[in-house]
Amino acid sequence: MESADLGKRLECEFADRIEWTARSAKRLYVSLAPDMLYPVFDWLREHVPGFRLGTSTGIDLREGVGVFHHFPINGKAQVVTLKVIAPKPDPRVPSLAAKIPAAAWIEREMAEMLGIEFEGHPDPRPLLKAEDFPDTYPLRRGFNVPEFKESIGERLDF
Amino acid sequence: MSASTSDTTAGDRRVIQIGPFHPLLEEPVGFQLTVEGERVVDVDARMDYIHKGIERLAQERTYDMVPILLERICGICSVTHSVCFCNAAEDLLQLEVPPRANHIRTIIGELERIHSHLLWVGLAGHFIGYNTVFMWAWKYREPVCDVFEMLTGHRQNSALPMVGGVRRDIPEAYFDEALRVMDRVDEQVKMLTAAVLDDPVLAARLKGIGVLTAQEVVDWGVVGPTARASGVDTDVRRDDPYASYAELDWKVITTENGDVFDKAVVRLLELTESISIVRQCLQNMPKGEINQGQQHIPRGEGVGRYEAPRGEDIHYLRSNGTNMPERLKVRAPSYTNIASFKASCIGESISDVTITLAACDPCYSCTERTAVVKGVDGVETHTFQDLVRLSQHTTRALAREMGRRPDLDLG
Amino acid sequence: MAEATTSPSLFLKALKKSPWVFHVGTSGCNNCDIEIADCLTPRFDVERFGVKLVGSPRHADVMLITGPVSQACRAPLQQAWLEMPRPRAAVMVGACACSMGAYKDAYSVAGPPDKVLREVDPDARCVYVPGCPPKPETIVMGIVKLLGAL
Repeated sequence: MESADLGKRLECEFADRIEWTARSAKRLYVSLAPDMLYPVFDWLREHVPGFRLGTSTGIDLREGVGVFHHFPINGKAQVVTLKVIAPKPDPRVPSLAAKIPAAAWIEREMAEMLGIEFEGHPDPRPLLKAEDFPDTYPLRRGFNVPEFKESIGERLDF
Repeated sequence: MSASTSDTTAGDRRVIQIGPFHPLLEEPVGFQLTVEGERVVDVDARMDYIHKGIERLAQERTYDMVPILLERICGICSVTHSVCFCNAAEDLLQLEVPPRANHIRTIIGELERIHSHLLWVGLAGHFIGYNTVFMWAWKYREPVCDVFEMLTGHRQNSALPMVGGVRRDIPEAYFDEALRVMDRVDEQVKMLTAAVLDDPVLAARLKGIGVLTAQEVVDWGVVGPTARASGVDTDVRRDDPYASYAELDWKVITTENGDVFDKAVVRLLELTESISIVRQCLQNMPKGEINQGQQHIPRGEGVGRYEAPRGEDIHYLRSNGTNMPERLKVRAPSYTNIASFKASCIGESISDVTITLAACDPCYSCTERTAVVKGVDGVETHTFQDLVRLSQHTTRALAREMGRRPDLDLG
Repeated sequence: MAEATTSPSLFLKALKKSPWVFHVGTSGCNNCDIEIADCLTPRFDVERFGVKLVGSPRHADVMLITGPVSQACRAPLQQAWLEMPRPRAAVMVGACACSMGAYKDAYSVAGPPDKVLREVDPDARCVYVPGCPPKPETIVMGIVKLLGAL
């Protein structure tokens, strides 16, 4: 499917159930409600050859915690980003790891960095944080590195 | 190997724990293999040993400092991460990079690929006991690092890439010497490639193991030579071109079998393409400016992609209009490639684990992680050296059976 | 290049002529580790100075340390150091090992390694080879200076 068409096809298929945040020939950014993640993902996987999960960004926003899944298309210059925002204080998002192994590690990482729960994740263990890392989320806005270091008895003095 | 002399629990199922410090693997990674007899039935990895919190750091550095920080995500992928970040920022800005800067980025990117692939060839040779290959590859990698230093001032971390171009020019006085080095490496690579393709012990040892199917490649998000060896035709330099790749004459290498042998072949053939790309750039260097000064990054977002030696690197950048990134997501190729060991290692024998893991050219630093290994009844601890020795022993036994020397004769 | 304060000649006399080296890569980017491995290859050939790489700290005289030491690496590093028989020295290779390098503000890093070692051994003898990464020639020079062979 040609680059320009993908945007149009998504528009046709999902109309006002998705919201465009930005759109160019090479980059499509779509915002959707958590319950639309699976339908849009399934549709893209079925209709777009070369569709794969590149990575996902977890981000702490004013309006909630964002989970942005970035899907490059093999053979094309295109990346489709699906953005889901889950409200704080208890953000939950459907797990893509339940559908595709490529999401397994990145969802574990976003969970431990931001405190998001991925519903249906087959293996929700921490991935990066040391075993004795305190119960706090390094990528949340309130996280302050010098304060954190002091709280675990270390100082940033170099 | 000590595994064979330990007691086992639960029938013949044992858990082998490797790490965290492995002399030849060089990075503190912990793997946990669950094995039944000689077969691997599960693999897990521990990633916290290398976690350095780079994404957090990037939010506390200006846009001008970020490429220099990102060069240090990974020892080899320096150009990779710094240029990929620039690609993300330039995507956000919709900014064209001047042609001379694009050529410079291409040259240093391909030099990086060349010395990375040669390093891999050497390590792979070591893991299967082909020590001539190890010494050879690392010896002939040196002139490539010399050229990098000649042109940029440093063997690996040039600090050249910046948003909108490169910081400094590369001295044309050294182009002739660089071209001579490329000619020599080209000959050596062709000789090595022919020797590898011809060697019956290597074929017997490496074909059919560590296979990833094309479907597994897509499901696990595998990229780079590891993906191309399974026939998946994807290369960011061609698909989503950056730097000068769209104007140069080169080809994407794919093979069909998805096994360790094919992964080696793809990298060897890519070396020849990379050498050709460097030559084309050195011989046709455009004149003109090399950057457009410091760029103000307004509110917005961008995705940058780059074909690292190990596969697609992808950065997502979000800006809130200040002089520091609001958020930078870095996903290096090894992140997805290493995770795919679940698909490629399960079912393999212990003696093939090292080479199967190595075949995706894992850069643990890029991946920044390893998972925890808990104490479990029947857990044996081994160093990676033990597994490497086992792998080398398997090669020797195979070579003996075939009546051949377990090494290449590279004269 | 800095050295700790115990008497150099006494220490060097106690070292074997042929120092055995255990290389520990903590959470670095691996660049220093690759340059250390390069020291073994024919062009630099550190073995001609009698240096031998060993697979266990129990057999080592000198520990080469790279990286800023993640929180998860702190205890294994300390354990490896304590397993080394005396006399022992640590060579900090690279900017991260000398002073945290690019990671000085990182939340997940416990280092630098000299501070981590001195938590369990206040007299740990440390030698510093700066660079990011230092060239193999510089690393060899660091080891050779430690041995007093120059």
